[in-house]
Amino acid sequence: MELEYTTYKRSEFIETDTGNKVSRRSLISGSQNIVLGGKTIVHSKCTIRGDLRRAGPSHQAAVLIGRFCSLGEGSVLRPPYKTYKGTFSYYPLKIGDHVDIGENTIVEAASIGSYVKIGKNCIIGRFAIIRDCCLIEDGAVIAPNTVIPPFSVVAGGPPAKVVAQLPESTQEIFEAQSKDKYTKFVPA
Amino acid sequence: MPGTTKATVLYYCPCSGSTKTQNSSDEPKEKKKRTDEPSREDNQLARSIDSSLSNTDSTKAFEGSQSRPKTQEHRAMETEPPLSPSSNAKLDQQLLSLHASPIENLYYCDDCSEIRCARCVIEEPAGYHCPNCLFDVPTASVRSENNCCARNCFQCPVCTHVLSVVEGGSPQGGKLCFTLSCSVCFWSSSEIGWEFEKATGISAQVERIRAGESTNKEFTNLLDYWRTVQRVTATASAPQVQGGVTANSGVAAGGSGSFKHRLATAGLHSIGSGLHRASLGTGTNGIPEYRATCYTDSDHERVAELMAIQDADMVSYSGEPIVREPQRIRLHMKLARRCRLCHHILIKPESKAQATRFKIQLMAANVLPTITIPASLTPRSAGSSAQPVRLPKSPFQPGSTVPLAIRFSNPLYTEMQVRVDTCASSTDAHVDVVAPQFALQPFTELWEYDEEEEEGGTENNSSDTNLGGASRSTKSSRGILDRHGNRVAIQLNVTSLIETASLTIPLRITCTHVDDMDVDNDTRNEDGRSASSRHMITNSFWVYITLGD
Repeated sequence: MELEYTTYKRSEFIETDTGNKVSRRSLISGSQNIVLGGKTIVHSKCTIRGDLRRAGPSHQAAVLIGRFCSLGEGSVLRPPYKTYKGTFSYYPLKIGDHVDIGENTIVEAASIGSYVKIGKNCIIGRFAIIRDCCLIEDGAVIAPNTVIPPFSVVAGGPPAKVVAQLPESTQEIFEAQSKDKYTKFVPA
Repeated sequence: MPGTTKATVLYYCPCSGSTKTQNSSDEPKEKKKRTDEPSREDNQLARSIDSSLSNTDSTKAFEGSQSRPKTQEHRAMETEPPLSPSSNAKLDQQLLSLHASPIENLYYCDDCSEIRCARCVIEEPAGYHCPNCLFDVPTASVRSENNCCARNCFQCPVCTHVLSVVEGGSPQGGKLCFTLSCSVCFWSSSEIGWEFEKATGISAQVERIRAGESTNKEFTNLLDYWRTVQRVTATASAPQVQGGVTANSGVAAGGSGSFKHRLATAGLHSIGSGLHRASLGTGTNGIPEYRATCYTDSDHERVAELMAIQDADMVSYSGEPIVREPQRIRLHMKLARRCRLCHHILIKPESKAQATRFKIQLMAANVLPTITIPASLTPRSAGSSAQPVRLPKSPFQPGSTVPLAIRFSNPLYTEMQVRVDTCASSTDAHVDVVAPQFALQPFTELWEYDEEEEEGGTENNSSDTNLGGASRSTKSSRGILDRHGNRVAIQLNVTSLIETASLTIPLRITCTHVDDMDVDNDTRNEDGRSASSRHMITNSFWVYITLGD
């Protein structure tokens, strides 16, 4: 089955020069610390906490998101934190290209690679590292500090486990799907 | 989606899960019955079309691609689906899931010109790595590391999560101390007395702790003992082996008898019965019997007690609790895949754990057209409203004809000729392909960008299509609903013959394209003769489209 067209109200979404589509009904804090790579869709009720950044005068962005990503309705992106050598600090949250994050999913990962699909109602724990070409199934709870190797299917939890391997063509499939999703997200 | 009918497209793999190709043992009787007149007709038709597509004398052009001799089964495969849609739809679905899979999961062997599935490829290791720290382990050291990560990667004994190294525990003399801790269940290695001086090389430190344990000492002693026994018996029995038996098998055969005997006497009997001191002596080959070093008499008594248990009710539960230790994380393996028939390499990954690229990647989706069920026929932009395609609703009533659109997309950089055949003898449904033959334009990266420009020329022509979608009337011939970029949507008219909730339609797809590797050679040789000597590649395969639940 091919994907259906999704329509949105033109007044609800702000489209940037690089083709990002950001819902006005999303909560974006510290927007100067958030980088969107282009052609990324931020749906309504999505929260991105760019204000949670490393203390001090560093100019590092708190949330970095690549191209052709989709942040589902009600998803929360929050940079991870820890106390290292006695000082509490937030660390950047990096997301690669062609990453699809499902509805109501909470992400506190340290990094998410490219070509990753995360289902609905997932929790990605603090400092989790998800490598390229992974599929996180709906409702998976990934424990903090987990490393998900490439081409894994992860489900269940906590802690979520690798349950299967993805085929070698995953990169092409996920790339085509994310591009398709972007082109089929059109104003009404 | 207005009608919530599900639709899946599965590609049939001609293997039967073994090294053999399509075997007659699958459904021999049915097939023999069906290879009669219509099949031969169809065959001739296919041949004539093939030759017309190649533009040249067919014998030359097909020398390479059709060199395989066609057996009776092969001919049957061309006209009859290998899995016929029977009246028992449930069974059919199970069979389908065994033999057919989505195109993403399939490989393509360009030596055999055949689809290969996960069952008809050979897997070989192409590098080992730890799934947690992604360290590439050299193949030589995998065995000595017992297939486990030799760094800091340990699994929690309670919840199987990866343990992290934390500062803490009980510092001795003001020194820092590290423990393994689980961030999910808060288990800590200090519970079992594992505390480390350094935060790196935990595995080596664990090995040092374990080496001090009496049971591990015993195990290494036993291992050494049996190695010497094996060596001695091997050298002793090797000259006795008769000619014709290789040295290796001789060792195995000669060693096994005395090995078992010794295992019974020294290993089990003497320890189990506590009589090992009495049965001391020298063995047949002059090796002294094994003597356990770390076991005391009380251990032997306990083992004897346990060995004597006849009834589960007699067992007392007052034993000490089992100490569970963290396990080192098992290594993962990258896989290379080969065709099972010709050993042609299909998948060769980069050996690095971090890399997701492949040196060689022969996927079916990169060679064969991908078939999808379109949700709407024409691409839409702001302003125009393309009506979504309605899938025929299930359950299907007998005698009712419903239109079904399927879309082909060409993954190649060369034009592709496609021919769609149906199965004539289906008991389920009669399928009429309105446009059985069409060309697929080559894939270009540019198609992705000029979608809006092409939008202007669309007109409504729903009288011909019945599908309610806008179609391009200017160029479209009958039965072709949409032609856009490297994609073509065609119409099928499906007439259900029985009342059913799910309908499976087998389609035989034959696609021909010019081998683009040869194009370069041709232009280099002689421009005038290039057209005639072009190498044509023909692929034909069965596709199963399932509508409904």
